[in-house]
Amino acid sequence: MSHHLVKRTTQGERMFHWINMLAFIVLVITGLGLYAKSFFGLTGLFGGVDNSRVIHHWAGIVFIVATVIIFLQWFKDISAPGEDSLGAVIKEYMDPSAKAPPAGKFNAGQKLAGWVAIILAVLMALTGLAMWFPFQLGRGLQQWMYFLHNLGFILFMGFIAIHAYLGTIGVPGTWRAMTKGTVTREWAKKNHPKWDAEEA
Amino acid sequence: MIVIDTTRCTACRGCQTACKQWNSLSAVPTECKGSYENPPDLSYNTYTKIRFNEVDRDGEIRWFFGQHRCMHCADAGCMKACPVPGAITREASGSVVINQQLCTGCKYCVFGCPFDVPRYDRSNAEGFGEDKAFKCTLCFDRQGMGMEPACTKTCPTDALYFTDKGKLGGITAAAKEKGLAVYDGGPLRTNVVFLLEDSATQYGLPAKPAIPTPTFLWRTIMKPVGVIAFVAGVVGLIAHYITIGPKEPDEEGGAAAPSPSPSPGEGGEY
Repeated sequence: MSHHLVKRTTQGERMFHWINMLAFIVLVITGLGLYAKSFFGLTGLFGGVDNSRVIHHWAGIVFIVATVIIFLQWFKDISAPGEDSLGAVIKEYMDPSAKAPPAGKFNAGQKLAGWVAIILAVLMALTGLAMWFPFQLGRGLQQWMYFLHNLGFILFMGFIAIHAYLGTIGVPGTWRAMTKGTVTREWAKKNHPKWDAEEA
Repeated sequence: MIVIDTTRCTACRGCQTACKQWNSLSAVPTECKGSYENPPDLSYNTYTKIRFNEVDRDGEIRWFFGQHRCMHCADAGCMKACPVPGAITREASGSVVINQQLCTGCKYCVFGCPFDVPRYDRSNAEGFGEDKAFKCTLCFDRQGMGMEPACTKTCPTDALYFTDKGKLGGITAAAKEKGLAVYDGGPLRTNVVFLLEDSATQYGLPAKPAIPTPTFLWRTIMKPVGVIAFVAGVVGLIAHYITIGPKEPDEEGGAAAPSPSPSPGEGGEY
């Protein structure tokens, strides 16, 4: 086995991603309490629905600030053209024997995920702001804000399920990029061959 | 339920006053807008208000008097929108009632109402603090004591009157004979029924009352769809893990590579 480790993330990237993740968890728990009456019990975790709402608002601020910072950190990387395609990336997940696409620092799926994350985060922040301060948009538009916040939440949960899976057990060896900031050479070669060749 | 025969309304606004008196609601400063209509709007301490609509009909002035108040829908938009269990309830009398003790002040109900009725006010610092939603209760407290609502009790011309659901059929049949339109909220099946001489909009009522489309999509469609989609997604990911399996790095140096990796289930520390 190889002891060669490759630096995958900077301290700053990790820090804001952790802030991001923790804020997201708080947002989900406090938000679920208002999503449906069957989840209302979750508001008890934060001392009742009134507190839950206040925490949700401020966690939202933390979340959008951290997300925008992460977006700026990775903007160049997720905008860079790659030699791999989304289809090839998905194919590799569905068939482990498939040939690894020549992914750079981020593969096509991760680039898409980056854009989906920032778009959903901005959508949630804007609609959330409208819900925090109603009476600014008029009745018709305000009613759609609730719907869009709800739709964005559902999409975000789908995103996060896939993101969390691929970041942990789905692609073993990825999680340490969040904790230690490094990955093994083998991991890099398997998942990001082009990036690995550039880093070597 | 309440019937409002608009042909009998003289816009004396006795109902407004009786409502304030019974519910101990303070007065709101009047505003001169070139009409007798006042106070300016419903508010957290004004549950009902007569709307004055002056219309020029071929050189003749017509005055339409409509009452702006909670319609107590059988299918209530406010209840659909409200996220707090028990904060808006339907009483045995058919009244839709906001419990300010439980209300968290999110204002979803304000925008879920097809009739633009619930109001909240930050300046309402007395009693329950701030940010609570308020509206007509159809005097469910009076009804509980065997009394009719304050507004119908006081109405001097019987334009507003309280009646049993059972008698409604006869009332609406008689009204239709006189050429009046019956306005019962259509699909919302309101517990307040208007007998109208003219089109609903002249009385400030929506022509086609319905739960707002975004509210319906949000609360009735998306809520269950979201839960089902998320559960299906997680099941899909688990299925991927079990059948196809995680994407492990290729082992270098053949099968004998002594990798000390723990099981991937433990967070994938490699």
